[in-house]
Amino acid sequence: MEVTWLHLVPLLPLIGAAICGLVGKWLPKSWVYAVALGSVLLSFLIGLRAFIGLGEQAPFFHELWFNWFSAGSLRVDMAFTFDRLSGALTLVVTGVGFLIHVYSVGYMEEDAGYWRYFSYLNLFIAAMMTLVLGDNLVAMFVGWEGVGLCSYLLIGFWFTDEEKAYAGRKAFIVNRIGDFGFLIGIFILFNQVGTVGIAQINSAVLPLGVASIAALCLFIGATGKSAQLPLYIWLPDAMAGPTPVSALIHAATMVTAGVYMVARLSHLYVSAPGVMVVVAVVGVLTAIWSALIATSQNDIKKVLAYSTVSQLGFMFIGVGVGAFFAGTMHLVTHAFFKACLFLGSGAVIHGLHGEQDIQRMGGLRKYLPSTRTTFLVATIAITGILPISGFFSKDEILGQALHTRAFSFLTLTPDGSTRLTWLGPLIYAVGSFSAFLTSFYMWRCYFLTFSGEYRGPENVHPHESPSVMTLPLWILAALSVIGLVLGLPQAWVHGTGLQHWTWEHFTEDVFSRPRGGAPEEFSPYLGYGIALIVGWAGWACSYALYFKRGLAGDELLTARIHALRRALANKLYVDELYDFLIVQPFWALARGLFRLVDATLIDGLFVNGIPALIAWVGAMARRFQNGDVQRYLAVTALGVAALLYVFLVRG
Amino acid sequence: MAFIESHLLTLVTFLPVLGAMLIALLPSGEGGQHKGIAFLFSLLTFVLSIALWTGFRAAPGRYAFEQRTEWAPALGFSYHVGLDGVALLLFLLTTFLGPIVVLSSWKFIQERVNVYCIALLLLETAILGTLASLDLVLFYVFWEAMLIPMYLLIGMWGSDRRIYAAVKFFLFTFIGSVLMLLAIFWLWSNSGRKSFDYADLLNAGVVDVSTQRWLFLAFALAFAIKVPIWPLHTWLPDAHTEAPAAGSIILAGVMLKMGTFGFIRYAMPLFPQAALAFAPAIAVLGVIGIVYGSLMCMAQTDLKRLIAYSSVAHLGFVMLGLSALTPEAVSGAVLQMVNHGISTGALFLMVGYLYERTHTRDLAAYGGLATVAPAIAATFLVITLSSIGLPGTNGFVGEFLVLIGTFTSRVLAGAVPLAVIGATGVILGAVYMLWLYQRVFFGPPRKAAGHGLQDLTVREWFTVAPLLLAIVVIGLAPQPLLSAIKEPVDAVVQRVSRADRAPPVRKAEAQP
Amino acid sequence: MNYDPNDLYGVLPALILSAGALLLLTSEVFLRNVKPAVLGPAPGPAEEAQRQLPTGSDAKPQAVPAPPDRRYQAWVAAAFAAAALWAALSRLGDPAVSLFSGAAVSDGFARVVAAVVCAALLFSCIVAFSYLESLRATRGEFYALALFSAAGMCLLAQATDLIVIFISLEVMSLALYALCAYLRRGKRPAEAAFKYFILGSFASAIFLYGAALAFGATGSTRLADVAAALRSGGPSGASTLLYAAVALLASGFAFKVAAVPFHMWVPDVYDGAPAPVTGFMAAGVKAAAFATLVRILVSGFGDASAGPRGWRALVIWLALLTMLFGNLLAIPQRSVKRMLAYSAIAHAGYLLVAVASMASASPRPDATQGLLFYLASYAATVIGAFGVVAIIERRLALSGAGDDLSSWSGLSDRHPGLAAAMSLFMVSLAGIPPTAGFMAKLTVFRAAIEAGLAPVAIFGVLTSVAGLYYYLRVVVYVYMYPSAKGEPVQGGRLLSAGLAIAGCALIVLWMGIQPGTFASLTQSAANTFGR
Repeated sequence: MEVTWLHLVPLLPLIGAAICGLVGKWLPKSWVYAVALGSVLLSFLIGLRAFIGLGEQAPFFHELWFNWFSAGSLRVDMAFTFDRLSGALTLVVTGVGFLIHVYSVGYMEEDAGYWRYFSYLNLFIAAMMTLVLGDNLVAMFVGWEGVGLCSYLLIGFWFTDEEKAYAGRKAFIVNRIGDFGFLIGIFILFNQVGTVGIAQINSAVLPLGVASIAALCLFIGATGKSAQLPLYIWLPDAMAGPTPVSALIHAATMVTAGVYMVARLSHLYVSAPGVMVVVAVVGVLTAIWSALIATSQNDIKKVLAYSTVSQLGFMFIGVGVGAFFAGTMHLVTHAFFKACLFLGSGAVIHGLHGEQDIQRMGGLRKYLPSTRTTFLVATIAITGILPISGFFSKDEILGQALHTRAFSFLTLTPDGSTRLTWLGPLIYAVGSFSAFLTSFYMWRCYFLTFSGEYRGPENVHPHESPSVMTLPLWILAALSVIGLVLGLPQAWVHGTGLQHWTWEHFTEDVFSRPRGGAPEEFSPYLGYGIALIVGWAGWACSYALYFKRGLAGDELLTARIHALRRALANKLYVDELYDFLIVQPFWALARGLFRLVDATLIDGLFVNGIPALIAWVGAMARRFQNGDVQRYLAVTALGVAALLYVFLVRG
Repeated sequence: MAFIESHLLTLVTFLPVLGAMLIALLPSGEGGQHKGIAFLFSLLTFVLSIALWTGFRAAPGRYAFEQRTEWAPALGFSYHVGLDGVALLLFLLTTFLGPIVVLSSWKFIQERVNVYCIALLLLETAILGTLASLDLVLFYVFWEAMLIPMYLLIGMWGSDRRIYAAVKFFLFTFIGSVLMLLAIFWLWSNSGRKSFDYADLLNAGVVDVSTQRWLFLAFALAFAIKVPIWPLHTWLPDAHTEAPAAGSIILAGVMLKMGTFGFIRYAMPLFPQAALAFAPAIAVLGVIGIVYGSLMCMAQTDLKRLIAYSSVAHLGFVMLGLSALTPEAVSGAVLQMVNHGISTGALFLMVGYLYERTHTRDLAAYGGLATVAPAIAATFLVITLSSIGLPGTNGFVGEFLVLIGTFTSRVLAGAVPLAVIGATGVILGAVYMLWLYQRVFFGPPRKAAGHGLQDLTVREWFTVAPLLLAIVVIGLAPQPLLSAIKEPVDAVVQRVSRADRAPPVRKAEAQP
Repeated sequence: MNYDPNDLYGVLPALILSAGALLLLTSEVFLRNVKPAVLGPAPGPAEEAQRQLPTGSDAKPQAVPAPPDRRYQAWVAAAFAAAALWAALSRLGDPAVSLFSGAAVSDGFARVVAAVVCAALLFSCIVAFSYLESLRATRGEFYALALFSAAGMCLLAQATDLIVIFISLEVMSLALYALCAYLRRGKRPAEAAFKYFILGSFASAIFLYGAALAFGATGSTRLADVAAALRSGGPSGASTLLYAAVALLASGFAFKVAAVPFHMWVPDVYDGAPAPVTGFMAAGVKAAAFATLVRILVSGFGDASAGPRGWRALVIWLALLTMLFGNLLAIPQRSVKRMLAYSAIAHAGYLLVAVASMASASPRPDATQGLLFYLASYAATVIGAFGVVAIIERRLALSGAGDDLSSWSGLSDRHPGLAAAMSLFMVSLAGIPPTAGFMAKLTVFRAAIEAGLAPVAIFGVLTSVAGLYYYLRVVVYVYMYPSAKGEPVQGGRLLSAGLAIAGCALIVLWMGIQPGTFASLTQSAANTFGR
């Protein structure tokens, strides 16, 4: 249904950003808050109204805002689609975004650059909404790059610190590498389909090869934005930004854009099963890889960062095995509990005056009670030791992976003897193990932070944060619990009012089904059982190690698996590897080319060489002109002789 | 009034000369009034040129504000001017930058101000004339008239190695143009009517393809040096580095576009078959320019040199787009000309301001300026983003159109790999520009940030603000520009991409 | 031989000029003369200045007994030059008439050349006036000699008989030899004159020999008869003779137009002669000599142009050599005067391209137009340039410094006007718009392209790029190097030189921006090229 108000959702935060950024410096603080929070709240309300409006007669809202540019056969519109998927995402982004704005009011209290901060934050909401609502790939790309910019600006928010500035740049450039893939994907699809509209692309029938290449290129973009192997390296460094930013951009919303994009283009990906495999495999590898690293990090934000990377891996497993609803559902629930965790960690850091190292924390439960409680809830949600949101969404993914048919018809040999059917179970196994690791390191983090005795320096007196910061925590904790509704198995809610709110049912007409068709009906109970066992196992291990001992637990581990832990603590040396293999050679190449080609070859040899040669010849010839009349006469005579020779004898 | 109507283009073109004459009449010495007059006239030129934009009506095959009067019938050329969409955009870009340039050097230029202002104004007229002329001799006269003032700007107000740079610039561009002059003569003696008029030469065409190739090469060399296309680019870094800020702005802002404009206006339509034949070669050179230029940027330690090399990369995009011969790519290329003029011009403007304050171009000396001069940092950031083609800024639309147009080109051989390699420029651009930005503005304040570095003054705001506005406006609403250039772009694409099918027919063979 | 007295109208410019010369000479009789002992082989003012003001600054020494005031002579000469110029221009459009039963012709071509010569003379006189006055070296013969040589040039342009050509050639040359040595200061002027004389006579001899061969082959010295003989074919041996004649006659004038390898005299002579004289030589001799060359080659040997033995190839080779070496040798020069000398050689090369593209029995109008246009623009430019050189050189002569580029540095600070003018002339010599030089280049090279000489043209423009280098160097010194030593040139009597330079600058600009008028003029002249 065509509407005319949809553009307000991204526009309002944009205006907010403009106001805060241009004149915020001179406005009173309260005004800046009012503008920043108000604009986000408004677009949330608009989103909510629209969301409620969705129904049988209006399966989606669409608005053609204006024709951005068109040349030749290419026409790019600023147009938005608000269907159940993008609608839900709108609510998540603006909602969580609003909460984090509120939280930031407390968190950025002392910072002089708060107006800059809120301007960036609003700009981010605007860009993210463009990404989510955009009805064509170019509009999506606008948001895609826009959020990248905001992330760059916010990571480097405290730019006087070289490290932080560098982290921002790293994030932007790694993202740009992904965006390169995204661009190529757009080109291919435009070349094939003749338009960049997502709906048209989804409905187009593409030859397998083209679809695969395009899907793959777009997925490269996703690996960049959603920090998957091999482009995940920027996200841990991105923790240099203010913690609310980490919560909003680098946990809840921006980093899930890749998952969203794959889900948006589900039909394209379904028509490229090979790429689905790639997506799933990359997802599971990332999940296990970063879960491993997370077990040995001591910076509370780094732990959460790697856990984010790993959770994103889970989401990609979901979309990779064709269970788009599962992946996106985890996206939503993850937004709740991970935002809660990050904000919690932010409260801790705030309460400890900037301390981020869990080795100097401990026993904070009595200083930061509400933070601790909410953190606990969110931890439970992500580790899945109790069936609340995280449990259901993650288990849905794993279950779908186990029973998927997406790969069943993919053969490795022409005769089709060896099918990929084993891949699903394998993914399930590895996924479950990383779920175990997740539980382990999250509880480690929790125990080291909140239980035991306070290990920090004496002069630091931990204190609970103001209510403006704790309130969002409570709301997010609540959401992490309520989120379980989305994941309730159909069997339980069949016929009840809740049925319409389970994510699978809610989004069923948005997504395409994998070629192999939906997995056969399977009863979830076995999976639940295993998941619970896995979750509790993780809890048990870290309880045993850390609850009593505290840091000693780490030493115990280190004593056992020394090399591995050191490698993990050093993030498996990936940064060093990239630096050695790619970054340094590249700069060296640049300098070498400059010296060799530009300075020596072109300029030295030709540009300056030829004139020098001419001048030299001139000087030589000049020697001959020595003012001697006899010589002059001789030359003249010779000249005449030569002419006569040429024109009489030879001619 | 009707007279104004019919002579508007000429009026705008020669208004700066009027100012120059006025300045020449004034006694030299304290330069205040000279700058004032220069600013006044450049501003007036811009204001009048807005009338050109509003009064512009795109008509297929015809030129707006066309005017033709006898000049030297005995020599076979006439004063014939007019604008098509492409020329109009660059024309406006020039008049738009004019007052900004004058204002930008208000403080920096203190000696021999009158010569400086005269040079600036004459340069502006020369550029405008190059864009407006429809007679090849007229075009060539303006084309070379550009050289002298620029030569003086670099050589008189440049920094240490200014003379080397100035002479290098002059010789480089001159070598190219003299061969083009001979090619023009060939066209003249080939056209039945012994005329230098562009339309006549276009109709006459060149039947023999091999001749076409030679002539195309002669033209292309002249333009390629101006663009500059790799490997003819080495005059550019020197010229940019040594020139005063104003010189760099004009050089990057409009003079480089004369080369690309020459391609789309003269080299390609006049020799369609040759253009088609050479398109892959030029595209390859363009891509080399993109990658190589970006790499060069990463190797620089001199602020202005780095930006100069970034021009090589950006114009690589333009050349790639022009040789892709799809409407998307070519209009993207034209848009990219304008964008590069604005963003790189703005970059040189800001760098000029930095240099005025710190008196160093050495990157190592910079750092942490964002804390000292937040306004400079903010504006510089916006310009940087436009230069790396972030969506929402003008840079994106141009680059995107070029790349997608190239990718989908059916005419250009090897279009897809070229587009893909070209697209890496998107990454590389971010690499060196953000590196530059961090080096200069982030981190703890370093040497250059010392001695009470002053933030943007009001005068400087007046120069920067219009550019920022243009960056955003074009980024959000590029369509008016694109529809203005649609007609000529389609025409050239038609003419060239179909050249192999329908060779141009020669008219009016009759010899008087 | 009998002729119609009316024919004298045809050579009116030459007559006027000679009359002026005679008038000046006779006027000398009535001047109270100072004893030669005092003036004698004058110790130049330079030494005197040294003696009185060791600082070598530009003060006016008062010591020597004042010689009679001869300033009027300059103006008389200028007046006669103007009159001759008018005489040349007034009948420009008229059809060609053969004079003295074919010994000479009065056609548009000759009239334009005469006009150029007279204009050159006019401006040179004005420059020379202040130049000589400021050096206090005005003596009677100067202007008379200048007028005589100009008369010779006008006749050269008209002569269509080898003997007449030879006579007018000598009239022109002898006067110039004297003028070169005019400033009897130091040995260089004398040396220059001596070289010029020796080599000049040599060239004249070669020319005479060629004329003799031509006579032997055709039995006549009239170019018309030569052409007729050629057309009728004649005995084969005769044709060989004729080809030899072409080669020799061409060499003779190749010397006068300073074409490589007959150029050796140019640098020394140009350098040694007083700047105004050099300017006059560069402009006038070039015009007259090229006019004659064209006459001989086109209207005499027009049919012998094509083919391997035809003079077209010869001229092309001369052109290539001249363009190459003229520019190459100019590059290392640090003396502006010598640089201009070599540039004069280079420009002779470009003019030879025009001659080559005229090669046919009936001269191509566009090529002739190109030649004339080029001659005119070059004259205007080079006289202006040497005018500036004259001022600088004069100051140097007084301050005892040698003529080196470094003494030009920072001229724009001391004399903005001079600096601008000099740069303009350099730009024009380099052939960059909007100046006369560019339009000249245009007319010549497009004629070359039209005549199918594309390779020659390409070679030419490439050498012109090399030329740009040393022209620009002057601009670099004038504008971009800080001022060396800032004593300003005394105003007063240099005013007239300034006027002349301004006039030249205006003409250069006018021909560059509004070439139409002069172009149509040369066009009509080219169309009435008499045989």
